[in-house]
Amino acid sequence: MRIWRNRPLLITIIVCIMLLVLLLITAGENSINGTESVIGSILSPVQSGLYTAANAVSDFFSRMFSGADLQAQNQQLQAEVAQLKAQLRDYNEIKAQNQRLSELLNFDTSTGDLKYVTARVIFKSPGHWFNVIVIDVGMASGVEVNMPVVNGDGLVGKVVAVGANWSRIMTIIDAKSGVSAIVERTRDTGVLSGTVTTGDETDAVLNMNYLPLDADLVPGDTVITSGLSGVYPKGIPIGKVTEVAHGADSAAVVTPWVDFYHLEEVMVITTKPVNIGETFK
Amino acid sequence: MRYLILAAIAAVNLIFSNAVFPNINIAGAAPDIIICSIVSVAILDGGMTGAWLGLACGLGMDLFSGVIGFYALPYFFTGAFVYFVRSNFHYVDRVFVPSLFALGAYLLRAGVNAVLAYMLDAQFSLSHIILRYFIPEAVLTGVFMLLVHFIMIKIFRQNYMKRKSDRDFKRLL
Repeated sequence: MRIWRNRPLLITIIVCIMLLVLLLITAGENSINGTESVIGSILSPVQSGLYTAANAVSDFFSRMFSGADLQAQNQQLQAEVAQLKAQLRDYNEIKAQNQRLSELLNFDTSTGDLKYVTARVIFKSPGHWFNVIVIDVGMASGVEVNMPVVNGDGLVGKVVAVGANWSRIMTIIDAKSGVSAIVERTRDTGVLSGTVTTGDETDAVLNMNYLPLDADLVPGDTVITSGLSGVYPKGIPIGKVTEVAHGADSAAVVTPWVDFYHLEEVMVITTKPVNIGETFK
Repeated sequence: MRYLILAAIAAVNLIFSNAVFPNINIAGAAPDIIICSIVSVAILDGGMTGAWLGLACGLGMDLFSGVIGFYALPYFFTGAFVYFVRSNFHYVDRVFVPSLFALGAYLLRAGVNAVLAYMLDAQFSLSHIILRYFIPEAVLTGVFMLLVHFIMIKIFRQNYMKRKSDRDFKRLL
């Protein structure tokens, strides 16, 4: 056959088949075996170094192109700090009040007992197709697959693979992600899913589907985790509604609170999610 | 020396793809410098070197993204495809043909990525990514190709970039 005599074509076919097999083997979310864990542990410092170097180059170009806006940005940040301080005072008052009322009702707060492991982001997946990050804590710190990951702004994602000293996190804006969510004001539930993003920060949005027919959410409403999936504890802030489409297939677009393009530190919630039955007992 | 230069080209590609273009882009769209390099090397070298460069850069992109082959396969396949087209296409100028090759190669690479992403259950709207991502980046890649090809011509003019013999070429394959 002529194909066997065409060496480049033969090599192309063999390499493509090998890569396709590798792709299908490594595509499974939790397919961490011993070898991959060891390779990951060895490459973790390399990865961290690469990420730091890439960040340095990235910061250089960012500064070069945004120098003119720094003063305006500084003023805006100062205003935001003042506003946040005021909000923190309110928050402390409300928290204290909530604690008193909870004690009165003999109600066990579900988030009070959560334990966290703080981690540093050491790598982000390149390209547009997937939004996966790698952090510098793993099994040695008690991290397990499916543990939720948050930062100060809200929900980041969940752990999909764990090595000895590293974990891979699928963010909620990843095209394979799905999160059960609830609209804080209206209590409408739905499923938030990520999509392929272009890398533009304004493009990192979530689609909220499976909303009830009579859902009356409006732009500006806050969306939080519903706690129904058994992975994410209830009440973690996710984002705010920016677009709503009412009708037979009600859907909404939600902009996440977390800035996924500038993630540096995150926290893994190491407490197992509370069983739904126990919550309502 | 030739392999060192090719390794340096791969490293520069990875730095630009992961650190520079995420910050310098037009509404999220940026040129695909790896495609530019693959096409340029395939045109100037004439062998499968473009495909191997694509494989190396693709594996670099796959490193720790968790899915080995997601970028390596499309980049290698695109490099090989450009090689086969180039083998049967003898007229090559320095402006239009390389740009058109890069534009077409980008669309091929993005198309293969879309098929793989679909196979992996990724959720996306094809029309949205074609309009918002494929077309703008294909055009940018075609334009950026002019600069990359200009630099590559300078590099490939050096004696150390020439393949020593057919035997060496076969060994590379």
